[in-house]
Amino acid sequence: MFSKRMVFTIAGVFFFICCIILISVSSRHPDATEGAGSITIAFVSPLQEAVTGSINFVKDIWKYYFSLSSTAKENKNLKKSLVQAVEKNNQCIEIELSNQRLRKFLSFQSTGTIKTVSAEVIGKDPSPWFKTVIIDKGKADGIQKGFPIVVPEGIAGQVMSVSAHYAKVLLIIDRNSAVDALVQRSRARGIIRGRSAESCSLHYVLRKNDVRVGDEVVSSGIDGVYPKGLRIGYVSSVIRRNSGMFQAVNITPSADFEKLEEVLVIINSPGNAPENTIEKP
Amino acid sequence: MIIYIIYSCVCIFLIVLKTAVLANFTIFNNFYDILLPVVLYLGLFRPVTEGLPLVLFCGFCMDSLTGCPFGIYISVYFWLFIAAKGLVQFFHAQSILIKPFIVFIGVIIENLMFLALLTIFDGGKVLPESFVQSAIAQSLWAAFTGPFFLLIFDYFHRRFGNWFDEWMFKRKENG
Repeated sequence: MFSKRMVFTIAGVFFFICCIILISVSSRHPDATEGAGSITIAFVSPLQEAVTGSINFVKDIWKYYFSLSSTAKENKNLKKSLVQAVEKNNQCIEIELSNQRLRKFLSFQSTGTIKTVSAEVIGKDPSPWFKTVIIDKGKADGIQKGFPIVVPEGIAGQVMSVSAHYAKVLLIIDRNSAVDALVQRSRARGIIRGRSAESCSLHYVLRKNDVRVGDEVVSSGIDGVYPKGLRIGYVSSVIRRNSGMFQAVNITPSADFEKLEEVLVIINSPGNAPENTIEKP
Repeated sequence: MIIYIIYSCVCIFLIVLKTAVLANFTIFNNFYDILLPVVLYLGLFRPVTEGLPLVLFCGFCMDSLTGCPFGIYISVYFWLFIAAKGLVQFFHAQSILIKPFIVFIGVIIENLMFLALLTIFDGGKVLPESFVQSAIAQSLWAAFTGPFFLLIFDYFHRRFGNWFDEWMFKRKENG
C-alpha cells in the first residue's frame, strides 16, 4: 500500500516530533528523564573509574618518585605555612568560642558544622558545550540529587543525577547552573550563572549596589542548596550601563575547574533536609 | 548481532577516551564530539538497519552523560545519520570529495544544530561567549583528525568482516 520511501518519510516525521517532545519535556522537567540517564552512568562510570585510577597511578609515580627535589623545597615552604596556619587556627578557635558565647548570649541559632563526604572526579563531560563531571560516590554513600559539591577553594556545583555508586555533578560554570550569591563586602545580592567558559556572571545586581573589581563573592544560603558564606569567586569586571536597572558583573570562580580531581559533597546542608531535597528517598 | 555489540563497545570506548583520558590534557579542551565520526561512518558505509540502532544508542549514551536536556544528541545524531545517507545518494561514499571533509562539515552542522536547539529550548539562558572560538577549534581538529578516524573504522571493520566470514566458514566446515 505504501512505498518504502513513504514509510521512511512518515517514520522520519514521527521521530522528529518525538524528539521535539522529548527535548522540550526534559529541558523543562529534567527529573522526567533522570532514570534513563543513570543507567548509562552505571555502565560507563566503572570504566571511567578504572581508566582515571590508572592515569592517577602513573601520575602519582611521577609525582612521588621523580619530583622529590621539588617536593623537598615545597615541603620546607609548607612547614613554614603550617606554623602560620596553626597560629591562625588557634586564633580561630578562640574567635569561635567567643562567637558561640555571644550567640548564646543573644539567643542566635547555632550555625552547626558542615558534614562532608569526599569523592573523586572520574570523568568529565563528553560535550564541549556542557560542564558536568562524574564522581565516584552515589546513593550507596548517602548522596542525593541536589547535594552541594565544594572544593577547598569554594563552591564547585551540585549533584544533578545519582546512580547506586556514581553521581553526575553540574558545575557552577555550566550555563544551566544558578547560585544565589552575595558580594561579601557590600552584601549586594545576585544570581551567579555559568557561561561555560571557566567564568560566571552575577545577574540582577542593582545599579545602586556598590560592587568593585576584586570583591569576594560568597553563597547567600537563600537558594536552599548551598550553605551560607561559601566562597564562589571574585569580581573580575563590572559594567554599569547608562540605562537599565542592573549592572553586568563578571565573576572568576575560586575553584580551578580544569584541575578538579577531588571534591567534597556536603551531606548536611540546610537544603538537604528530607523535605527540601529534590529527590525523596 | 555481534556487530551491534562491537559498535556499542567502540562507542563506550570512545566516550571513556574522551571523558577520562583526553579530559586530562588542556590541548583537547575544544576537541570535537568523538562519536561524530562513528555516526558519519555508519551513515556513509553501513545499511540503515545496522546503523540506525547504533546511532540512537550513541545518542542515548551522550544524552545520559552530558548536562544537556535529554534527547538533543539523539536528534542531532539521527539527522546527521540521515544527512550522510542522503549524501551517498549523490556521491560515492569512498569519493575523494567526501572522505577528507565529511567530519569537518559534520562538526559544523552539529554545532549549528546545537545552537538552534539550545536557542529554542533553553530560551533566555546565555550562550557561551566562546561559542564561535570553540566551534572553530573543533572544526580544525575535525579537519585534521576526522579522516583518520574514518580510515581506522573502515580498516577495522573490513578486518573484522574478513575474520568473521572465515570463522563462520570454518564453523560450517566443521559441521
